[in-house]
Amino acid sequence: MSLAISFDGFIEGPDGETDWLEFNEETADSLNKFIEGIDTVLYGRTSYEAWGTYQPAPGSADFEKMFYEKLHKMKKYVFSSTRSNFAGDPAVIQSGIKEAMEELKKQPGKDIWLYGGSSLITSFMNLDLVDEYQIAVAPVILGAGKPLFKDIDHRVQLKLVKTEHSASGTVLFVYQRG
Amino acid sequence: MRKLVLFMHVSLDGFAADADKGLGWISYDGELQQYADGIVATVGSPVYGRGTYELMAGYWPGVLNNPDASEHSKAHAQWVDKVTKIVFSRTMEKADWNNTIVINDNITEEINKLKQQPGKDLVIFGSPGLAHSLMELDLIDEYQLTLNPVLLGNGIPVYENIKNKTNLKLVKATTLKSGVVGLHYMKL
Repeated sequence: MSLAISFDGFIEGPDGETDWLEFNEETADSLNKFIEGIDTVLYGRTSYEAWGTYQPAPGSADFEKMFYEKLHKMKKYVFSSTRSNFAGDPAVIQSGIKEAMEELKKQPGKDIWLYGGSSLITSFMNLDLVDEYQIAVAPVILGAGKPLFKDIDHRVQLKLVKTEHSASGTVLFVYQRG
Repeated sequence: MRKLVLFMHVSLDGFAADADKGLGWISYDGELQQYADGIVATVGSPVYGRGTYELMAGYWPGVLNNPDASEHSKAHAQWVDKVTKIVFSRTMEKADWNNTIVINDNITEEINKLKQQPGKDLVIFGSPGLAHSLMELDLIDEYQLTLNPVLLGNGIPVYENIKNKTNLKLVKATTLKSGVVGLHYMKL
């Protein structure tokens, strides 16, 4: 899992906004490094519908274009119990998350990115399927929005592997299951 | 002007205590104690909600006269006994523990008066309920959090009732060997 949250734990503001996230050279650099380490991306239905085939606008920053170009070449899986066909033709998993993931983790290759959204993340956490958490905490209090951690049904002890802070005040935490 | 600082141990998923109000998940060790001592050194007056205050008042005076208490505990007990303590409670009329100011009402006005007095900072210890009220009133100037490497799933949340988006500045992040990260932020 890898994503950014506000200081008070939200992945989106109350109107779905993510404009409080800062993008700069440092962020671009760490995103590029991250994407080199993965070859598979997992989406929930809503996230895939919103971002699965997203193309940055022509005037976007180069790093953003490169990021999505690489991302869209990866193997994609969508978890949905209600829909079996999606634009871009990703593999669809309609049931048996745990079995599917155990199978997927056994295959050779790079790491797997649990893209989101939050309800897929909750399902994965409750099934103990997340091996590593990379969380970038932005220096802003939103007060309301969509929380990252919600409905987790058991305590999980973690091991801190790394912290990094950027000039903008964002702190990246990397944890593994303890 | 002195600042109002929230000092709290928090879980990665944003809880200040578990569902049973327990704190057993905090990775407490010598290094965290030393880190906390550094924060205590900045305190002019500790600020408590009624619940936390009663816990403190029921504990520290006993340490003063306990021959088996560690030197560190005794030193802290002496400090907290002498220092002017501030407790917020709508219902408490009078505090039994010495050097305590009880504030029942007009939180914003009282906090602003206290901030204008000379001295070191006003630091909220624990007291999540009080912290929510102070966040709602937008009175907290700095956050001193120790982020523990654990997901609790439920409990008493750190953040609640916040109305406004607020930009912060990271002052310092300190990684301890236990995996706890001390985070110091100030309001911009």
